[in-house]
Amino acid sequence: MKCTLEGGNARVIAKAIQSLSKIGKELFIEADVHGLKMRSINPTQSAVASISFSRCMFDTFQLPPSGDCFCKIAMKPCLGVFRNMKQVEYCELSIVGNKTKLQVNLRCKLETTKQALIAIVDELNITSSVPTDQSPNSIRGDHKLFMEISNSFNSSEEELTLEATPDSLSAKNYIEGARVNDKFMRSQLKLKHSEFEHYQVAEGSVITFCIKEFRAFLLFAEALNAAMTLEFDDAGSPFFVKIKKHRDIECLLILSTLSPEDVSFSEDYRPRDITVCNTTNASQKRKSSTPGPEIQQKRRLAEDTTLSELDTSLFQFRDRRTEVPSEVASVQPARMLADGDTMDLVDEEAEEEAMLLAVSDAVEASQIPRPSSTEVCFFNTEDAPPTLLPEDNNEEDESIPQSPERERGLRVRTIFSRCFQNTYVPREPSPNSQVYAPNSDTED
Amino acid sequence: MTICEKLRNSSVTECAAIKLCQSNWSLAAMKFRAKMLDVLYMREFQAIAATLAKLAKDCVMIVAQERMHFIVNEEHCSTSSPLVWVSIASKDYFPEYQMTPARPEQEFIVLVMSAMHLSRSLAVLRSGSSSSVHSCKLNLKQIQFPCISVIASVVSPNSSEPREVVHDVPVTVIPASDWASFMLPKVPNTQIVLGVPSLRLLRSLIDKLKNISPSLIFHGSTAGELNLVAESEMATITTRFSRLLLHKPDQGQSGAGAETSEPEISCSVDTRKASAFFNALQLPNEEIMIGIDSERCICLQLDIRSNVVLHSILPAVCV
Repeated sequence: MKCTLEGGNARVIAKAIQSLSKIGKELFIEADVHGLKMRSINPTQSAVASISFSRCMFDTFQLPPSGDCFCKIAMKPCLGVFRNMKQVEYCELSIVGNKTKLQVNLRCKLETTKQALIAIVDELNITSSVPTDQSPNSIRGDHKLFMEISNSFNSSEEELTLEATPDSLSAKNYIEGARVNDKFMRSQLKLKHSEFEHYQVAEGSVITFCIKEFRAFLLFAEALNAAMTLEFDDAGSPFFVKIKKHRDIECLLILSTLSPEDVSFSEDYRPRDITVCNTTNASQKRKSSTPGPEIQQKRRLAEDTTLSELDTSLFQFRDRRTEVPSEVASVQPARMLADGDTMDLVDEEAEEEAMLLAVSDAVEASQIPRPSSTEVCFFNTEDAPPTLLPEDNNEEDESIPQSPERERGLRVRTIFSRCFQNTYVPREPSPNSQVYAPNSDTED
Repeated sequence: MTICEKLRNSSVTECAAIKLCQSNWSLAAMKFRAKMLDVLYMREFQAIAATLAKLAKDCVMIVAQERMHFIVNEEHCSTSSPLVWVSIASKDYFPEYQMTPARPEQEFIVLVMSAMHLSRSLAVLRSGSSSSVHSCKLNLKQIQFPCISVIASVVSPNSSEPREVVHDVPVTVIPASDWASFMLPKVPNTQIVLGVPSLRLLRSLIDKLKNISPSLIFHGSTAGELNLVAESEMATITTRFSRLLLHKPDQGQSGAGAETSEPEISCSVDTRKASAFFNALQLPNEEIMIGIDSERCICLQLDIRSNVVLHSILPAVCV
């Protein structure tokens, strides 16, 4: 994949990356016939932002022979590369090194060229099967208006509550009727419907969402000088923020809202299950050893997932790796170990990401044992382990399904294996240890 | 009645439940409403609140029939903030001002609130050029807890209609039995008061002197001169302000008492406290009056307008 842009558009992309960096720690890039898409998901998976740039923003745009391409890169190196864009006249993005690195060439004024190679972590992508056009309530206003709303609240606030009635919108930092402590200052901003460009609220609803991601997106709207559209239904349903600019840039932020029973995100939030599906693409089919029924099973899961509850998985990860484990398993571990970027990637960051990856691996549906950089795995490549999909969450409202067990190969040796056991509770002392002194804390 | 009498006899350390009950009960009768309409006054009020927020965490608000006072006193908690209080004549700032104390014979309503909250709730009054504020209402309310509701009516350039910004600042109502510890400080009796016209100069000067010496000596003379001296092992730095206006002793009396009064009055104070005071000021005024009480304290007075005065006391320290 290779694309080039001129300075002004490159600055827009830099601003997009800066906004997305405030949301998540990784950037998912997808290039297809229509253009380039950048996505990010926040650590608690309650918000996904997706910014798409249409093909006409680019001077040249070449796709790989497979027609599309996905990659996931760490956010920190991107921020470093796209930090100072004032002098940039020309920018070229390409995937090199057999899909291991994203190369960014910036040609700046005074004949300076900056080149950066960012390691591609893997080829995961996020998709969401949330219907985005079906919300009954929609409000559109200039970014300045939302900026004023956002500035009325302290920057340390975490949540914003919008109470919409057919005539007016009220933005608050508290929920009516919720008991708060005495030292909490309540703030409220009341706006009439005439202040917005477009205001359509069918019936009153109250939604509460995290303001941090909203502010990050607002930052991008301000950079584009565009209007923002908010679309929502009621408490518990997802909340969409859309920005459109000249049909070239379309942005969508999906936020989850507090369900009516919960009091606050911070107390009750539970992370959602990540569903990883292995979809095959053309190249995989050619040398594929993946059986047919497996593909269909995964597609069904994608279609069935709905958004009625906060517990269901909103977003699914699709694994777009082209290598087939059975043949090139030896290559895989090398790729997954986070390569040193040419940008300074702090070691702890790499390890932390690798740990995150390791944890998500433990939850994944696919049973192709994917190594993480904290584990050393030896594969028995002849085994083709069966796949185990987690139960569809819709069927069980009350119980959260257990993380699916990892299928161990015969020769797999794992480090930190206790961390992935259900019974591992870090705080409890092991029964073998001796209690040398009783707990002297009187409140227990 | 019996509850009130019991509380008057009780000590300060009664259990919180009784206090809460009493404050709730008295709040039912207690009323306070004020409304500001003038943009300039609103901005000044916001500047006062911002100054208080920079000085201390909590501030005491005393609401009387004709006046409103704010006191910030963190002398005991930390060494860096001095005692500062502001007296505001309510009819200047608030064309509508109505106050009913808890009981008819009482003169005040005494409230304690977080200075940061107050400052933040008034922040919208500062916006000035981008949007204009129509009015600002202060209202003592009881939602789940007592609070001062600051309701600002703002017209932004994007819209033609005013919108409301409401902040509920939680307050603690102080019952009359505890008023003794919250009363307004008295302006100390100073022998000399000089008016220094350049506040900004003083602020940057004291900021730099903070690193030289922990104590600062103010020498004031009836000839209209003020000397600021900071001594360290290596150097002594003296800044002379001359031709200052002498506010006290009065010019008219100087003829009679010139021989008897001392030529120079001095007092040394903590530089950090002085620096904290000057750095906290957010008001546009440039003239400040410095009163010196020989070896006892320095009394600072800032006349924001005729009936709105900010005072501060810097106690003397041993050199």
